[in-house]
Amino acid sequence: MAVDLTRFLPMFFEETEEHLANMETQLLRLDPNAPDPEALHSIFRAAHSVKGNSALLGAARFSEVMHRIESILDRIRKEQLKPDNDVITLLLEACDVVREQAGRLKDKGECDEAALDALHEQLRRFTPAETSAPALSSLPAPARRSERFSIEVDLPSGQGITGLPLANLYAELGALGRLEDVRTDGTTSLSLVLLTAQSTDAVRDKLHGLLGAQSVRVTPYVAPPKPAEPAPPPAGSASEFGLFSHEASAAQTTGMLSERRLGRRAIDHEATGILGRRTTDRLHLDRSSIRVDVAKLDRLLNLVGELVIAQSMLSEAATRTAQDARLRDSVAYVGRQTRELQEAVMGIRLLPIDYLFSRVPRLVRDLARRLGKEVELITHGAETELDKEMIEKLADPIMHLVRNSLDHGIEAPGVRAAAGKEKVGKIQLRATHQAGGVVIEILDDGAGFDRERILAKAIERGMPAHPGMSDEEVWQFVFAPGFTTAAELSDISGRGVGMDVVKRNIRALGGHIEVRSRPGAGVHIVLRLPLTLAILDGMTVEIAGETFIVPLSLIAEAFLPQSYQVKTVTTGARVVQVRDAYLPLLSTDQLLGLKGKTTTQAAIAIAVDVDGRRAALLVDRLLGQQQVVIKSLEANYRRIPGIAGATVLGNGRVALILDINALLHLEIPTSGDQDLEAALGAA
Amino acid sequence: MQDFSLTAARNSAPSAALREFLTFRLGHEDYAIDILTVQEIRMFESVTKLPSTPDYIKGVINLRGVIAPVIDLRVKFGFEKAEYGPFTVLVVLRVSERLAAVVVDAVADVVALTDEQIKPPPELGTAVNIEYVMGLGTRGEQMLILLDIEKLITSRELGIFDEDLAAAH
Repeated sequence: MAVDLTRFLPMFFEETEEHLANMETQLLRLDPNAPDPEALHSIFRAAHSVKGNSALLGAARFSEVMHRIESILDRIRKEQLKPDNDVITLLLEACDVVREQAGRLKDKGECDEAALDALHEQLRRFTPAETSAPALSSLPAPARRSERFSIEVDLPSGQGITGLPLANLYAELGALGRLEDVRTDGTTSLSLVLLTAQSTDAVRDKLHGLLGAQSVRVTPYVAPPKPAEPAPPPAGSASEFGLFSHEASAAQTTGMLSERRLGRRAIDHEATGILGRRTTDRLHLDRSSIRVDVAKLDRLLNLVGELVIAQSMLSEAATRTAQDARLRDSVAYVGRQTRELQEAVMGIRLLPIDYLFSRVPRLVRDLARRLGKEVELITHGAETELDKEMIEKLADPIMHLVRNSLDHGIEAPGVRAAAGKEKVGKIQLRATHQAGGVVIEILDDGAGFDRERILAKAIERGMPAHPGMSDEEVWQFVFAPGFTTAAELSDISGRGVGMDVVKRNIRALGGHIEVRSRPGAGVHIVLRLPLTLAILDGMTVEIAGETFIVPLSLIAEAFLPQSYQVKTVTTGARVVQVRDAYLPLLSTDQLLGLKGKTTTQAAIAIAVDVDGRRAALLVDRLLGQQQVVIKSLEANYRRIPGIAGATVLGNGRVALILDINALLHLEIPTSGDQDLEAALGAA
Repeated sequence: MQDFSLTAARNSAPSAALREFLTFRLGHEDYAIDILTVQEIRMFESVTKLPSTPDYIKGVINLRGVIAPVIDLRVKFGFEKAEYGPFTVLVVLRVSERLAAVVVDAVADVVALTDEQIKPPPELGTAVNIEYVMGLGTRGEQMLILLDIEKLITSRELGIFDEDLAAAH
């Protein structure tokens, strides 16, 4: 009943990633002067698990490296080694190398041996051979030749294979050498073949300690005269990562993995690969959870969306025809339940933003070190939940903003001291729920934006800048493509690619970005985002006889334009005066090329604000506000300029969602008018 | 809205040389398309118009939560009359993993044709670009124009899908 271990590989990679992420978080929190024993233990456990898993799957090089890491941790634990910056950095780098090589192994089926060798050498510096960790046996001495041993284990009667601490057994044997063959009948005996440089006694002692002396026999390995099964791979062969050549019995392998599975803190929906480091203590407690494919969730969400539509059709029909109060009540009840169901299903996709925040400490640490700055990172509201997809798409923008704060915002310690500030700079990450959305703030107490320099740069680049502009308008320049005030380019930031991309990404998520800054006091960036990408708060409007949805978040106000407010500028374009501002007045039907009639007299104007770019859109009627489920139009039809997507209304009909940003851009090329450009504000 | 299930027709095992086609009427001519591209047939329902699209794109409909375009082949082929009567139906097609519905005057039948009954397309004489005609089928007195509906729907000429997909066909 030999099975192919390769089917456990995806789990191996996933778990390795989890353990490494865990180690990383704990390492970052470690206080060099008084390392928390519990944290150390947690790191140790994670390293140990990776070691055990690697050994089981024959990835001996990983298990060697993890073994070295364990040894270092053991020395720290025993206060033989101080976990100073160098040690922590080395351990973090080790995590990186293992992660990277595991990735390579996953993608290409091989590792960069040189990288692992180099890491091994580095780790060795902190683990002198004589003080090597006794927590687990030391690595085989290089001088000794490796030998194979047959290990026979009698299984506890009645319990069979399940009576053994298999995970420990594999981990211990993996540490001793390479496990080459594992066979069992599942009930009476387990046979292992171990290749190791240890002596028979060492192996025996280890096993006796673990399983008891009576049930284990260790003998030199004798190859079967006529192997019925493929022979174990030759010792020291070039492919140390013979991950795919090993066999083990289904019973024990499954037994072992399921044992570990029980203890895991799975919560995410396959998020590990992308989000990587998921690590809060809160999550550790989360044991009763399962992993679900996102595609399944999306399907569920779709179905519920359909149910909501079907329900509203039903309730429309019931209120129209039913005289029976009981029927109406029942329909209303179904309606409430349906909405609750929808909310519950949406809730499944929500994850704490900690998945994202927990990646920041590492970035801050590495960068601060490189830049010679001292920074304290403070996070608030890591438990704030938002849509998984949103979290993934926020990762780059937020990392970028933090990087900017560190590179451009926070001053060097000397400069800070001279300015009378604390030597250690502060970067804060805050997440809160506000008005049905999520607000993420990035604050630093650095130097703040340099108004004069931004203005000078903007004028130099021929942007519409003048000294009389308000601060808010000046800050908008940093979002212009290619804009940078950095005197010299660094590899961290300052190439001028970035803020415009950040803004575009946030916009694509249906969010806003706001910037506040005071000289000397730092920069405060506010990202306002919807909770989810699947649902939109919309205003339903009628244009040329069709129903359209305008995202509510972009609407500043709606008003009836009076003729005295409307002016026609030279090119035939119209502007409408709203208090002290002139907004371009756009006929939405014409922009979209719809055949219908909209007149300024009867129509309603909706003032929209897209990142400070303002305009008034004419529509025939306002129909109401509602939450709509966003559907892709592009699944079955090509992209239409000005249309962001579609939704299905309560009556089963399709309504199109307007892409306001694109609509405004549709208009701009046709008018080269200065007044109009000015009216559009500093975009 | 009413669905005519085609499952039965689809499952009736065609013999090796037989191919099944759905026949329908467009203007004065009878057309036929491969039954395997047909997902369902629906009564014509009101559509949501799409901005900046050619005349023959009537708009989009909601197919159980999926948004699909509706194409009026009569307009595309330049027929004089494109009226919506009681027999006007939507044939929902699944081509290249995408859904699209075409408006036709009336659905007639499902027919099985042998290879002998299918003749190569003539050089001219149909309203449809010859490129999209697979051949002519004969059934007694009746002549059927066999449309290569997949090629037509994914064609760049019709422009329903994005360029990349159209170009691939």
